Amino acid sequence: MRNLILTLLLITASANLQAQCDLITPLKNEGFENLIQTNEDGELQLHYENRRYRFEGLALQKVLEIIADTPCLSNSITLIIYNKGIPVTEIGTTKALIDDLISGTITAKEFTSSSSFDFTTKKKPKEKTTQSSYLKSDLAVGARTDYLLGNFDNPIRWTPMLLPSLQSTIARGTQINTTFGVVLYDDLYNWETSRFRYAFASHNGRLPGGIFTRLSAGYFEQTQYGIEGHATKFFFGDQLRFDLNLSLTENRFLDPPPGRRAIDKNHFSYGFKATYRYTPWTTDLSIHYGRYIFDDTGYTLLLQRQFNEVFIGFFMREVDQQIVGSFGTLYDRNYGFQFTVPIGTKKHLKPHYIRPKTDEQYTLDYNYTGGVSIGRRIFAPGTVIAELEEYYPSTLQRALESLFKGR
Amino acid sequence: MNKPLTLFGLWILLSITPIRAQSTTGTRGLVKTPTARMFEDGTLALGAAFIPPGYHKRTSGAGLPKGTVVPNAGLNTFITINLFPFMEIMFRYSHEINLPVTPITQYFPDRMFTARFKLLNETKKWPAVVLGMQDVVAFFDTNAAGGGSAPNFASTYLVATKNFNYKGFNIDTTLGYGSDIGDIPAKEFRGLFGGLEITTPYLEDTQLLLDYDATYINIGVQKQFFKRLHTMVSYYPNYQKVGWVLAYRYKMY
Repeated sequence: MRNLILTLLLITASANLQAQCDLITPLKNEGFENLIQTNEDGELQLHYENRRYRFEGLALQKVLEIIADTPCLSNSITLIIYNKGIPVTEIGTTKALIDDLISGTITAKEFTSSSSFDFTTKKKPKEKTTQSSYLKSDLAVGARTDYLLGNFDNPIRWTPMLLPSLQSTIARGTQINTTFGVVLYDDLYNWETSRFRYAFASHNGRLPGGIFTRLSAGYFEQTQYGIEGHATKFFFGDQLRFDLNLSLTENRFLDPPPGRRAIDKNHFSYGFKATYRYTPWTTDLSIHYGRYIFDDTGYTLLLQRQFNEVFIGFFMREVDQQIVGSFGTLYDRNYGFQFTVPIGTKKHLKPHYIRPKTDEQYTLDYNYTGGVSIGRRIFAPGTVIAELEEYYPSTLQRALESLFKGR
Repeated sequence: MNKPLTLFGLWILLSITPIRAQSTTGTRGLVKTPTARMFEDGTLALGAAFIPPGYHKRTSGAGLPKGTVVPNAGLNTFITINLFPFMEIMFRYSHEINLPVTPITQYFPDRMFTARFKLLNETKKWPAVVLGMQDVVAFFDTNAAGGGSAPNFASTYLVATKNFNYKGFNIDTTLGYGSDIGDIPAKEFRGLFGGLEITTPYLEDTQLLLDYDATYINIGVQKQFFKRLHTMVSYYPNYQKVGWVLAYRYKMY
């Protein structure tokens, strides 16, 4: 009898502790979306998507803090991080490790080496999600600068523009992006006007075997109108990445500037890219070979280091077209560098049906030896594949190490 | 009271944090000469260095040949990044002040790219050693000789730096050697160069810089404010002119 009472008490206590382990409410209050919490065989699974924080590393830090503040019985915890409703990354850890990390008992390095970080193979559970990210829109404002150096009449010709955009996730993996370019000044093209830069819909997916896919249709930058597809597969975590891209476009304006017309038909481009990532330095060495969108065929070598949200890369391109640089100098190869820096606020407003926000990144290329019109590819900003680097296991590990440094 | 001297004194007194040298060339160094020191991995520095009149050299344009010392001052604007723990890169625009870019002057600011590689870390017995490749485009650009990107500041050098402590004085000593490499002539740091970075026990936040850049002797004092803003005042005894460096430093990790 005594044993029975004790057992009942233990079961009740356990049930209470499990009930206390409500991560959904605080995460929902913080603005996280697509939330699912499951408890099975002593393992707590937490599925979440972040659109509140500019950087996934910061979002993960916040999630870990919330878990540490929540009393849970389950020791084993798995976090599954989503983008556009697609499960991308998985972190396997324990409640004790999270508590130790937040309290400063262990370093972030010890936390990351004791936990597992990888791309996930898990599917979205059948449980109902809390705070869906679908049918919500962001009104974002970004910036872009087109420029050219090297002319005695006008040494720096440039066209700065603001890029207001409307971006929405319609359903799981399906999104739209409409971006308008407001030209602030133009002495580079001398014809450029404020006009649409992007108006496309994409479907993002993850096939069996962990292949990320994207199929897009619409209007893209560089006056490309048509369809494009992209597939990405990783091996050994995020150390080896293979990309395949295909596009069929024609060159035309969605809303032509006065007196300008750009039409050519059936423009097929393709590319294969292999990337090796040296994870301790979050550095990628990649080679892309293919036919680019302005009918040039060749390769691009890129060495790029990622410092959390900052990307600095050096590239070399060689194509089957002549490369023209400053003062009409002809080059065999195009050398240059590119960087991407974060802009705007680190934390956005909570996602809502319509949310104003700043764009998250600003990118600039510097072509040392000419070649602005070679090696161009279709870019679909805001899609899962375009944002994958933020979700890389090594990126998240390194982000935690830098965010928790000095604690 | 001399106003510049008063301002200089105030600048010394206002310093509050430890400092590190950023040379007028834009890389880690003394007044002008490079050292074998590097910033921490992921450090970015954005800055400008004022080169006084009579010290700056013509880099392009009609009239004077390249390399001629001009009466105009110069301004080096640079971005320097420790891309890897062992590698520092720097991109710089060198402007000649008061020389407009026009079809008549045929002048265009010089752009230059520098890469530096740490070969050895400093140990108790051995100095840190760095291989520097300044104006590195000459190594890649097959058209450099005839095009607009002919190297004006090319230099390939090996430099070693060792730290000593003596009665509370911290002395960072640097010795380097630069030479031609293949068809690329060294335009700067050709031959032996070196210098000292001295921190006294009385003004721990201040450092005195003294260097010989293989051509001239240069003197400087440097400071860092709020751990991010780097300043240096340089003095060129040969021309009795004053220059400066102002750089904002940011850690990306």
